Amino acid sequence: MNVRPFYSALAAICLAVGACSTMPERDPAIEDARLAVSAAQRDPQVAALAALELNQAVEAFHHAEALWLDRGETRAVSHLAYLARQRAAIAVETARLRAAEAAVASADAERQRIRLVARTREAEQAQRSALLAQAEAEAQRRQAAMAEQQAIAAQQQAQRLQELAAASQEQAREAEARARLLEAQLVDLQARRTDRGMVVTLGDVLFDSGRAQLKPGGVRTVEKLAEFMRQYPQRRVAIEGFTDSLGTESLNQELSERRANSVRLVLIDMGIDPARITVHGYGKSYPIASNGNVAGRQLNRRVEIVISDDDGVIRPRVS
Amino acid sequence: MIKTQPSVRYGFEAACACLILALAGCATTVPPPTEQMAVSRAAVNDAFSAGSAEYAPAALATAQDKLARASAAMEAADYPSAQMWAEEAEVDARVAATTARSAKAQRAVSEVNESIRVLQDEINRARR
Repeated sequence: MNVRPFYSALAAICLAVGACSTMPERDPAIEDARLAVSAAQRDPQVAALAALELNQAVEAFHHAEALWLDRGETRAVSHLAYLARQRAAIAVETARLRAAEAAVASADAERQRIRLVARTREAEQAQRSALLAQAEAEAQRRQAAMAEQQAIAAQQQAQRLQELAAASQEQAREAEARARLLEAQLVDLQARRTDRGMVVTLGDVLFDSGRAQLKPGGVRTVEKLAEFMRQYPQRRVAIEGFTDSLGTESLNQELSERRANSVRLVLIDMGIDPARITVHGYGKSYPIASNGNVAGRQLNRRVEIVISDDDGVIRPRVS
Repeated sequence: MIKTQPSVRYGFEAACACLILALAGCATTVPPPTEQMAVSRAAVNDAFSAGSAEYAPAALATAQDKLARASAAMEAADYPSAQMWAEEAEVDARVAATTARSAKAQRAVSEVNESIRVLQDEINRARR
C-alpha cells in the first residue's frame, strides 16, 4: 500500500537527476529562437547598424537556453525563447530602419548635389544668355550708329543735291542773263531775227561809194560783232555781200565779194579765228527792195552777216 | 504485511515536504509586475504612434492582445502570468514599432530616389 508512492517519488527523482546529466529534450521554441538569433548574428548589416539590439537578442537567447538546460518549466522556456526570437526580429528590423535612414540621408545629399549642379548650370546658362543679349545689344547699337551715319550721309547728299540744284538754278539764271545780254547786244547790232538766225545788215552808207572800204561807222558795227563773237566763241558767222542791179554782172559780183571780204578782214583783225567766218558774194541776187528807184537800190547794196546758233550751225540760203 | 522501514519512510516524507515547499515558493515569491506593465503599455503606445496600425497591424494586434491578457492576469493576481504576457507584449510592440518605422523609411528611400530620378530627368531635358 505504502510502496507505490515511494516508487513514484523515486522515479521522479531519478528522472530529474538523469536529466541533469544529459541534454534536455529538443524544444521547438528554443530552436526557433536559435535560428532567428544566429541569422541576425550572421547578417553583417545587423552587426554593424544594430549592435545593441543584437546583443540584447543574444543575451535573451542565452537566458532562454540556460533555463532550458536547467530543464525549466516548458512554458517559461517557451516564453524566454519567444522573447529572444522577437529581440532578434527587433535587431533585424532596426538595422533595416537605420540602413534606410542612412540611404535617405545620402540620397538627400545626392539630391542637394544634383540641385546644386542644376543651379550652377542654370546660372551658367543665364550668364551665357546675358552675354548673348549684350552682344546683341552691341550689334544693335552698332547698327543704329551705322544707320545714323547713313542718315547723315543722306542728309549731306541731299544738301549737296540742293546746292547742286541751287548752282544749276544759278547757272540757269546766268544763262538767262547771258541770253538777255546776247539779245541786248544783238539789239545793239541792230540784228534782225530771220529764218536762218540773227542777221546783221551793214547798209550801203557804211561803205565808201562803189568801193569795199568800210567807213568808221561800219568798222564800229563790225567791232561790236567781233566783241560779240569773242563772248560766244562757239558761234560762227556767214558774211554775204549784195549789190543793186546797175552795172555789169561781174563788177557787181566782184564788189559784193570784196565788201563781204573787207568785213571778214576787220573781224580777223579783231582777233577772230578765220575758220569761224565764211564769205560769199551774191552780186545783184536776193534784192530786198526795188532796183527801180534810188532808195530801193541803196537798200539792195548791203552786206548781211548771218550769226549761227549756239552750235555754230548756219542754215544755207534757200533760193 | 510488509512493514515500511523508518529510514525509507523518513526520506519519502522529506521529498514530499521539499515538493510542497517548492510549489509554495513559486506561488508566493512573485510580486505584481507593475513596472513591466507600465513599460509594456508605453511600448504599445509607441508602436501605435509609429504607425504600426498601418504598417504592422498583425504585430500590433498581438501586442495589444497580450497586454490585455497581462491586465487580466493582474486583475486575477496571477502575477507570473501577468509578467510573462507583459514581457511578450513589450517585445511584440517593439517589433511592431520598428517594423513600421523601417517600412516608412524604406518608402522614404524610394520616394527620395524617385525625386532624384525626376530631377535628373529634368536636368537632362533642360540640357538638351
